[in-house]
Amino acid sequence: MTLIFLIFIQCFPLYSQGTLSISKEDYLLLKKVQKDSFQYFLTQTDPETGLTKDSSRVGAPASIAATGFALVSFAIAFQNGWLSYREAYQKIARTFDTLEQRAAGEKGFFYHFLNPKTGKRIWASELSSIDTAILIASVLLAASYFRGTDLEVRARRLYDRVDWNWMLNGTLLFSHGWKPERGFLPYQWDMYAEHLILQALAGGSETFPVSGQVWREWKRDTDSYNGKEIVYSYTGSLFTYQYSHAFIDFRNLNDGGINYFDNSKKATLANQEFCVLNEASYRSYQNQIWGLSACLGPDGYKAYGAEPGIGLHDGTVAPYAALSSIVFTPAESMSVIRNVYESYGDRLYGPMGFKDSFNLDRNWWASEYLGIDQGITVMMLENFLNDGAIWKRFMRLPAIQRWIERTQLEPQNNLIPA
Amino acid sequence: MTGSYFGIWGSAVQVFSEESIRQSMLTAAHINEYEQAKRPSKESSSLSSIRAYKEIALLSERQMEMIREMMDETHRRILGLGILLLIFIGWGSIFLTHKIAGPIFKLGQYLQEVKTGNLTVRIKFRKFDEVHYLAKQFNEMAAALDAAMTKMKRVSNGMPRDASSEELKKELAKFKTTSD
Repeated sequence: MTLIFLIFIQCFPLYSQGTLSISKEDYLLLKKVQKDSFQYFLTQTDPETGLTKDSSRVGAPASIAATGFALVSFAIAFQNGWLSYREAYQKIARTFDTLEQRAAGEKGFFYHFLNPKTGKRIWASELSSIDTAILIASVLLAASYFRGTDLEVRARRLYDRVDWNWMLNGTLLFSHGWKPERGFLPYQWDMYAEHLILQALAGGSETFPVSGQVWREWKRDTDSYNGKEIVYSYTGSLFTYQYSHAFIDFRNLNDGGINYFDNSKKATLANQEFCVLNEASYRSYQNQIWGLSACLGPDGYKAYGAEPGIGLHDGTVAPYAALSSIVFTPAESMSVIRNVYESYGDRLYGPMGFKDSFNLDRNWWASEYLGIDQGITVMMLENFLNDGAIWKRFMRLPAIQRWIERTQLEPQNNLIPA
Repeated sequence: MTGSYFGIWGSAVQVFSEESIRQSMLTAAHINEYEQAKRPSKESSSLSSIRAYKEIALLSERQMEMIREMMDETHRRILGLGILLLIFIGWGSIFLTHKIAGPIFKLGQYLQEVKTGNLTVRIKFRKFDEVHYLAKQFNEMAAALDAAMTKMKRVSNGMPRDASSEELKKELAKFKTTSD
């Protein structure tokens, strides 16, 4: 009976996906992209330290955000049957060992870039607030897949030791980071961006909680684009509307009249419309292809984005951008993914999923995969294909419950209609 | 020691190889671009000289780190080798003391015995002791003296008793020989 059920699931995955309404072909393509993107973390994670390289390029340092995404990917891989329970557990435990004993950091925060072989700080990198937040959120999330094991205790310990208040540097805004040579960086998370996950962890901490005022302090600047009122990020990069949303289910949270899930949906649609508006100038945006977000480009890594925001763009499109917005815009994102896969897959798709980006106007194709871009892809697809599986786990964490309570985020039904 | 030397400086050569420097320059560019991406401003990104300066500064910081890492590794190895050397010197000193200084001390004590008139002493060094030839020569010397004194004692015993022969016997009696 079980066998028949499993065959049924394999043959007709659509019917097993609850509210998901996409074709079987699309489902299989997304599953392939998710599984292939996961390969990045299998191949680019150091087998001794469990630290994951920032990019697939030879000589790239380890990044703590990529390491965080690797932890979640291993847990997802176990859930999807790509790794055994034991394999996933061991890989996560190995990274925890390094984070506990060897990875360079201060006051619970970690340096952005580490030597993948030793865990020492390299490239004079900063103690990063946002990258530590992504790592710690991933640590808690990955451990939640292994209930009742020591991973949960160890994850909690790593979370508890982060002194979030220290990163405020006596203000109500989080600093971007700190360097031992120069102290706190002169930049703060003062407007909407990817820092909502940092806010959530800091607000929900039991050991070093920040006051409720910190949540209210940053600016919710709004601007209108094609009739859509958006709480926008400075760059207008899609990733700023995605990172926190990979963990936190904002669908039912109301922040004084703002629903950040709806906001990300509007920002994604604005990103699409911005590309359509500029398709006459850039070939990359033709054939309904869009997706402007921070990625590699012909002139290096740039925070590409659309309006509202500064809207820096030069025709470079990152496939991960549309992919990772699939929870907000399923049909629009799916169209881009299929289009890019079928039209440019031979140059852009490899054994670790989509390479970072391309620019048709300059005939430029990325040769690298970036850890954070493969990571957000794996996570968002898990939420989309598995009925919000990550959201359900993450929202159950006591830390997140405490944050919601302390910031008085109200249920969605209290939202003021626009 | 030689292996350690080549190990450290071999890795230095690798670190500063053409390919490695090329990759480091790319990483410096990426890291600088990541920082710019977090707080972009159209002005600074358009100034390529500032960008180049920042990348060079990053690269030099990385090279300083690598040199520091190599220095730390060198210090660690030198410390390790130093400790090994100290152990070796300590062990060598004890070994040499037992092997050379011990027998010489023993030889001094036996010469003192001879000085006080004991001609029966013979040195027998341990198998692993150095200076066996000295023991042999000492034993030959002691045996010759012993034989000579024994003979002198026998001759003096046969001499007619008078004051000078008694004086001689008294002096010879101070020497202990194997025939006593």
